[in-house]
Amino acid sequence: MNKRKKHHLIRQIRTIILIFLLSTVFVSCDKFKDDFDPDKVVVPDWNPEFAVPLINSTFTITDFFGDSNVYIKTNPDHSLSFIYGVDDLSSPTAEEVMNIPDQNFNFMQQYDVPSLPPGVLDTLNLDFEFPFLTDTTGQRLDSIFLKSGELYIHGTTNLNRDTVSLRVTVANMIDKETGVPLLFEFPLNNPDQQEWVEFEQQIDMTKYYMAFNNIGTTADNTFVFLIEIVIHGDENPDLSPYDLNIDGYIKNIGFERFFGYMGQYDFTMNDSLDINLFDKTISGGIQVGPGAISLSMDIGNSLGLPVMIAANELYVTSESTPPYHVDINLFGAGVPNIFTINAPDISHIGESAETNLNFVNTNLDEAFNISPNKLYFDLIAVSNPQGDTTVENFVLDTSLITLDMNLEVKLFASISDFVVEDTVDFDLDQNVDEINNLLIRLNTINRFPLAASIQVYFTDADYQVLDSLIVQQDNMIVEGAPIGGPPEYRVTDSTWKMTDFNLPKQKIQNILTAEKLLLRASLSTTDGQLCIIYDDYSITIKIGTIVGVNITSN
Amino acid sequence: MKIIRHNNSKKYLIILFTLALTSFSAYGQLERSLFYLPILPNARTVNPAIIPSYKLYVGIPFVSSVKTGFDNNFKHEDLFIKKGDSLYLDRDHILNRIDDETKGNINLMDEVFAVGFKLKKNYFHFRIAEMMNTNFSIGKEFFRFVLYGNGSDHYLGNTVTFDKNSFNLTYYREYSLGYTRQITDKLNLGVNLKYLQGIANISTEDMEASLYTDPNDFTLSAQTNIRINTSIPWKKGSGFQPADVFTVTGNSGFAFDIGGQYLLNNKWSFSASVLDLGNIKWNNNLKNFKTKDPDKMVSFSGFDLDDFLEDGGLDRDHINDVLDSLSNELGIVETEESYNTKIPTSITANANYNLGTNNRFSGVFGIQFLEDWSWPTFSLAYTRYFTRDVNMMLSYTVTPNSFFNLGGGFAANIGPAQFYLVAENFMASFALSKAELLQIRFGINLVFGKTWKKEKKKKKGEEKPVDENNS
Repeated sequence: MNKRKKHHLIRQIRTIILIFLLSTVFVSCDKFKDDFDPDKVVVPDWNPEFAVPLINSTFTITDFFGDSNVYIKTNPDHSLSFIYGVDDLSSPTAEEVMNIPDQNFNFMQQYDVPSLPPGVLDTLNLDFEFPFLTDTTGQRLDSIFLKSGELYIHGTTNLNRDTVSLRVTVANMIDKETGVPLLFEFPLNNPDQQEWVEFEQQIDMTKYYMAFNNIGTTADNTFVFLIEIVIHGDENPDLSPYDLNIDGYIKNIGFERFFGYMGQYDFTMNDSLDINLFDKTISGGIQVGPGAISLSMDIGNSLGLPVMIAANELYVTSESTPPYHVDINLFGAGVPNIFTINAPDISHIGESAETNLNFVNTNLDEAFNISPNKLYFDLIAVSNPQGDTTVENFVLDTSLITLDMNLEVKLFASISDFVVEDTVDFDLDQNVDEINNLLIRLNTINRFPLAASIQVYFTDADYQVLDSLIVQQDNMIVEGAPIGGPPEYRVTDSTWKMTDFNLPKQKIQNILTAEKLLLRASLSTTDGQLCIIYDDYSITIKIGTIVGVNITSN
Repeated sequence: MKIIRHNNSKKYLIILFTLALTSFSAYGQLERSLFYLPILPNARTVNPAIIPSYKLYVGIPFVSSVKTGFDNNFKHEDLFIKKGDSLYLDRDHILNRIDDETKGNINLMDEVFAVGFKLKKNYFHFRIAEMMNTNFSIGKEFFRFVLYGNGSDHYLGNTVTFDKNSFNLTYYREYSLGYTRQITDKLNLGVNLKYLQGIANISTEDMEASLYTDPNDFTLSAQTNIRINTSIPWKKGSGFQPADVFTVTGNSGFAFDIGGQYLLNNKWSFSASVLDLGNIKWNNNLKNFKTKDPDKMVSFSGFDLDDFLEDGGLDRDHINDVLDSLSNELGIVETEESYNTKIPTSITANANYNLGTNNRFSGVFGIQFLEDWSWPTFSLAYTRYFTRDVNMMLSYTVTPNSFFNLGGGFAANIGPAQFYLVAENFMASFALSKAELLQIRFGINLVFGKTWKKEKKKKKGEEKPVDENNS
């Protein structure tokens, strides 16, 4: 091969290689774009499905009602009772009920004073009294220990003697420490022959008690002033008769202790009990077992006097079940709801006498068939109900009546198609584009003798139903455990039920737009049988899900 | 005539190099091809016994040698089915196509700086290079699990075992100091001593797990034997900071290469090398995740609602706490323990046959030892010397899973500037979806003192002799 041919060959080969490399680059760029363009990937018709356990919880009665106002009591046989109670409900105190009115007094008396030579004394005694007012008929005051009060006394006289003294003894007002009656002393000296001599004084009555039964009078509630005028002889003319005017008041009387006969007052106590067991009930029947419902009261009384309690109102109401209102008879039909309570004797002044009452003849079992939500009561405690004024009462200012009321609902009943409903706000603001379909599997292992059919509705803000969770006919997702016979009515085994809820894409979208969740459950005891709930009952709920992942999602 | 030829060469080479750069993102390169372009001084990185044909060469910083590519046992069409203009992702197709173990290797190398010079029968070499290597192996069962999910009939009520899984990503900087001695006229021996500066690593020592999904309530029962080591300099939230990789990392290692080259006669030459024998000890930025008790079976049957409801709502803080504690339940603890990783060692053997003065046939057998498996390859090549300054080659490579990989490349000196581009399996450009192997390397060097000119003078009368050092 000559040099020219060889060079020509080399150039040809070089050109071929260059074209080949250029083609390679361009083709490869185009191929790369084709082979790796995500827009060209066709959505597959399959989705990986991942199974995940979500919830595994075991619930007892305490878990369902532990946060409510109910106390769950375990009875000696391990059955359970709900205790709805009112604790320490108090009546008004005696001080709040009994009022001692303000007292006003006014006396006028003329007296003669003979001429007395200098150096001679003469003493003149006068008595004044007025009836002490009370705020109730027949009240008898023996003694009242005061914790507040003001006594004001004012007087004038036209006696024209140089040296005169006036002593006013308030016979009912006794010093708590010394036992000496209250004494005022006023000088009535009139050397300048003034037309009137005036005197006045005000005292705080806190250190005194008022005694009405030791002043020698027979009339009740009499307040007595004893006046003594001591006159020294002088040369002044005798202008007898002279005038003595005394007036004043007693006000803001507060007592620590009262002795006597208090009379009749009303001490009222009213309240209501929320029975949340039936809060969410919208319909259905319940038949409580015999003696399942009982009512007890523990009443404390620190009033030292006879007290009778009358139930002005006592009834239960239901929002769901007719007749919606049932009056409660504590002692059986036709017997008034009236009873007396204990009172402390004088040796236990300041203490409370307890009265414990268990009402065993009530119609509460019957009343509970309406699935009541509330128990209302309005009790009135009346002092000295017999009106016997000879009875000796004692009352402290703080004396009152207290009430602890317990409504015990033993979980012993049969229920049938008992429908409860609840609505909760629902805001599942989640992006679930990644989810193609969802299967929710519910496993229940139930040791309660309760079966439940449940439906969950997803609604908009106006409660318009958008979708429901369960579409299959069988929505009995909890089967009741079988029940043994009387007297224990105890379950004999647990039951297991597995339910699947399929949520395709559209249903998931509906759920996402929902704003409210309406839960409705129909509850029945197993086969409608009577049963007792025991403390070892539980239900285990396991929720797992199979999530179909949308693999085309970003 | 000679002048015209050189002008054309420059024009073509510049065009080719530009095109190569623009297509870089799609391609990669493998070490094998460096055997087939004798005028490249970079060939010394695949066998330290090779003495380049220049008294001095300097790599242009950062572009003297850039390499990237992948070497897998799966390909695009194993994942997608092409129908018309669409790509279908069919899980049964994927599972039918992939092997029991899906293996992959992705590598990236950028030479920061390189210099080499010859002193009589001695050759000295120094280079700094950024190296990143990722190997992974994924068991088929893992793919099946991801594609079907444990909620599928296949897994509900059955135990799935995940094994044959491993992952190793290593990013390190190599400081290599090399020396080659021409022992005789026929024998060269060389060595590279390397200081390795570890920058980042994620690697698995153990990666086994089993999972049972209860078919009724989906309770998960798992047993794990996991040890994952990480050393990552950039912190979560702060993002990548250049200082994270350009400062002293505290993760050090050493490695070495050895090689020999024997010239049997004017036609036959042989060489062999062992590369990257060494490891890196990772001391800084550590996090290890390991199973505390591999014999322990852990079950999770769902959250107890009671623990998550507070004031009528979900207590999200507590949910997060429990999710954290779930990993504790699985017994996977987090530690900060130093660990070692080997860098992938390889052995290569090369034979060359010169047919006349312008043609050479070569063969290379190589095997790379990765963490959990070895990766043998064999390739044949034809090299054409158009001039002493221009080499072009075509190659054919066989890997355990791929039997038709055609490669090509060139190297050319234009004055002191040397350009080169080699690609292995360029057929992937036409059928990328069928490619399991795609490698590319390119670069620019400055070369001075071509030794064949001296030889030419010595062997006056011979036309275009083959360079003895690379023959």
